[in-house]
Amino acid sequence: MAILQFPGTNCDIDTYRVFNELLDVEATLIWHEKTTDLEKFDAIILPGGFSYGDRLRAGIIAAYSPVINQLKKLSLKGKPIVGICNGFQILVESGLLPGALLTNSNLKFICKWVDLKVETNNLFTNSFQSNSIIKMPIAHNEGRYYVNEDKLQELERNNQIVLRYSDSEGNTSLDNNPNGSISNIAAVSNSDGNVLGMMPHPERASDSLLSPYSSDDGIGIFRSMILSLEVMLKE
Amino acid sequence: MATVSEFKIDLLISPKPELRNPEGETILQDLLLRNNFDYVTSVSVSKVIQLIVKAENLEDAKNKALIICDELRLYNPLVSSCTIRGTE
Repeated sequence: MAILQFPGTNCDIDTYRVFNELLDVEATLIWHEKTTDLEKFDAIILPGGFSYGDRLRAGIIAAYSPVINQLKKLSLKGKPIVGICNGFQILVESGLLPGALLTNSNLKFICKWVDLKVETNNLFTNSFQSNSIIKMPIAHNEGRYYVNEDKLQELERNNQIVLRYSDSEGNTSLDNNPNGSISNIAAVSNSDGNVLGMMPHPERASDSLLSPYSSDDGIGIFRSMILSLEVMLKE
Repeated sequence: MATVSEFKIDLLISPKPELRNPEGETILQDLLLRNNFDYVTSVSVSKVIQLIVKAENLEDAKNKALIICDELRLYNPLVSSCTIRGTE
């Protein structure tokens, strides 16, 4: 795994520990300006944080880092790429994922655990049962996902909506929408399904000992990806 | 040889009207209407980025600013519009 670091990234070490210590999968921290060839890694993670202090718009300045050109090429080859929180914002701003992430509708930085409904079975969710309700924390100021109505329908048709904010029963109403995201969207993929962007933090819900709800649901995202990679690499 | 001058270019980045503008809504509901300024019906908050641009004339300066807007996405066309204003 390659875990990219930008100035202001701050969830890199947590993510690194999940792979190296909990999953026993080798992960390497890669500074974004290094000219490392990312092709040799099986997957690439863009962790959360505040790249470039969220100046101009969250994620936009990192989206012009040369490393993004590599990601664009690798995404076309089917390489799994995961953007978490600020990583999701970077992927949206770089055009690797559709839509925009706007300031939360309540204008507050939201930091809390949420229930999420797993909406699709893809390479990042296949270790969950369909329609599972999982728990993870969110921590963001710009998480209000937006696409226009046509694009929303396209995302629905292509099964690109991966997670929705819900209650513990899986109801996805406005009452359990923390940030005003359209259609309660918490995570989306690209149309090929190999690029995932998610506002919740799976790395903070990977060790049940560290979770107030004893939730290690987050590790399921990474575990799914590893299982999928094992199948892909055998083929 | 053409003379190059500096021009002040303002990029007014406004949210598209079909999107909610929570900051504008809060100013309207919790500041203006609460204090009886009920002749205001809508508030929307925009952002201004000011550039000082070296160019031959104002039109040239605006065009240069427009190129930056498009190439580096100083505004996100999905959710915002951008109006360019300039003065010498």
